[in-house]
Amino acid sequence: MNDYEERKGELSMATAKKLDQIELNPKNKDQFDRVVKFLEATELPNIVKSVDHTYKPTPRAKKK
Amino acid sequence: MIAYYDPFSDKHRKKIRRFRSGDDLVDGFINEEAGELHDLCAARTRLYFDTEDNLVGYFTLMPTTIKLSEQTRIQWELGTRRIIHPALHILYFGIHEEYKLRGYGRHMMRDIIHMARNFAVDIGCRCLVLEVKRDNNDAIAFYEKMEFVTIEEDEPYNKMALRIAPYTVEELELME
Repeated sequence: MNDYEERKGELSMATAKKLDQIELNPKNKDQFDRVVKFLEATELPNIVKSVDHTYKPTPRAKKK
Repeated sequence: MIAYYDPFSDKHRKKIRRFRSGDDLVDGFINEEAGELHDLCAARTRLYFDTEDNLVGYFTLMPTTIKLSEQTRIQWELGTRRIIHPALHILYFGIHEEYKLRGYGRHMMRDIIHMARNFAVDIGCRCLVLEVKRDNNDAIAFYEKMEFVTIEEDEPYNKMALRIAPYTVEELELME
């Protein structure tokens, strides 16, 4: 197994699947790192459905 | 409408004594144990108040780790290598019986999700976890509505969990 495949094997399934759809230079480690960082950060949360983007956290009580 | 929260404090003692959720365990905990655990930072309790300063509900949280089945790890895209994951344990969650079915529970749960997502950024947190009595159908229906899933069935409590997703790039940019 080459280095590229080995590093891909360490990723979550979702990220690895997305990575399969992108053409990368297997020898360019910086590119790999940048793309993986982006893909991992954009993993779609499954709580999007229940989280309203207008949500504001409840404020803490003011000190009297 | 929920107006604000305040961390557990003796100044709310009178209101806490009058708190009735309909569940003796939930009422007993807030009256007898929550204060000590809160002061020790072993578990932290938040009290929620409406615009008229009525105590409408509370929850108690503590950090934990959780062992997830391979099936859950695959569904939640957590990879297959690591079995144990960081989580936030909802130790107690109660709404005063006079204030049930008004959306307060949902509001409080969204605050917990928000806290967990912040923990995820700072120290790692992949899910919320709680235990619920198997015969407490109302509570189970509420947690399912909030997208919790049962991850372990046991007697008398089932374990339920909600996957906490990391912030998206857009959200992180907004925070910076």
